[in-house]
Amino acid sequence: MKHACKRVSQLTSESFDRELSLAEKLQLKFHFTICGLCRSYHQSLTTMSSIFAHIREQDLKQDIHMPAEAKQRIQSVLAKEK
Amino acid sequence: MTDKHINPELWLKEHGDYLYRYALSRLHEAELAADIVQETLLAAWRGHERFNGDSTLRTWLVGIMKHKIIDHIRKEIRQRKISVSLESDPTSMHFSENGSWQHSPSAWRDNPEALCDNQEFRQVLQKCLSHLPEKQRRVFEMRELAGDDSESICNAYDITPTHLHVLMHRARLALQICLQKHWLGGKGKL
Repeated sequence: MKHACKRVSQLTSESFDRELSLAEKLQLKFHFTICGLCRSYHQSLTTMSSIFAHIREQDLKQDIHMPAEAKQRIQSVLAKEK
Repeated sequence: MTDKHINPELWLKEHGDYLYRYALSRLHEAELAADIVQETLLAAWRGHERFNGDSTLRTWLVGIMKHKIIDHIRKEIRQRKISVSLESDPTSMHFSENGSWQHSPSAWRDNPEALCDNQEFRQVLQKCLSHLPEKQRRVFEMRELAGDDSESICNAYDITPTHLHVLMHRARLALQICLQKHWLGGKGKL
């Protein structure tokens, strides 16, 4: 299996962005049974993806407000437009 | 929409901060984010007859804003000619000729939530993100930090899904290596 890990690392990444085909899923599954490094890589990307999901959640809860002067400016633009 | 709800100043009051946060998480510049909120509310006001009440007002406003953000990114890409070339493959150096690993990924078993609350880790993560090439970083952040779907990102950056997957793969591998080196290996040393 030439270029196996290189190709598998690309597929591993894609599995976080799209639904893999059945053949691709089997290819990954099989490769993971024989390759500890790719298995670790998959594990670390899974952790990374949870980290970003958690940051997204935190960001949404953050209490960020639009600066008052920007709000005022928009307010007057809208008032003129009405 | 009942008449008393057709009031863009009220929209600003009720949804302005939400829209601002939405734009800011994708554009990262306060002034720009406020400008996009203004454009969005103006466009919504001018087209308010098209709001049919199938969705909530906020969802409708966000829908308009998404297009404004995509338009903005497209314009910026054209003006600054941010390179979209995929010619040289930066991941090659982490694999040998026959495609096996040159780098040894270690499995991360850290608790993601605990890591997120760790300020030192967050700084290392920021640093690692900032080392990515600009285009790659922006695409990656739009996907992972803003949580946008592939279609909007491809649209904004005018790339194919295949191209997007290649950029995401390169970004993930670079981040994996950077984090492993500076956090998991060297605990916070960057």
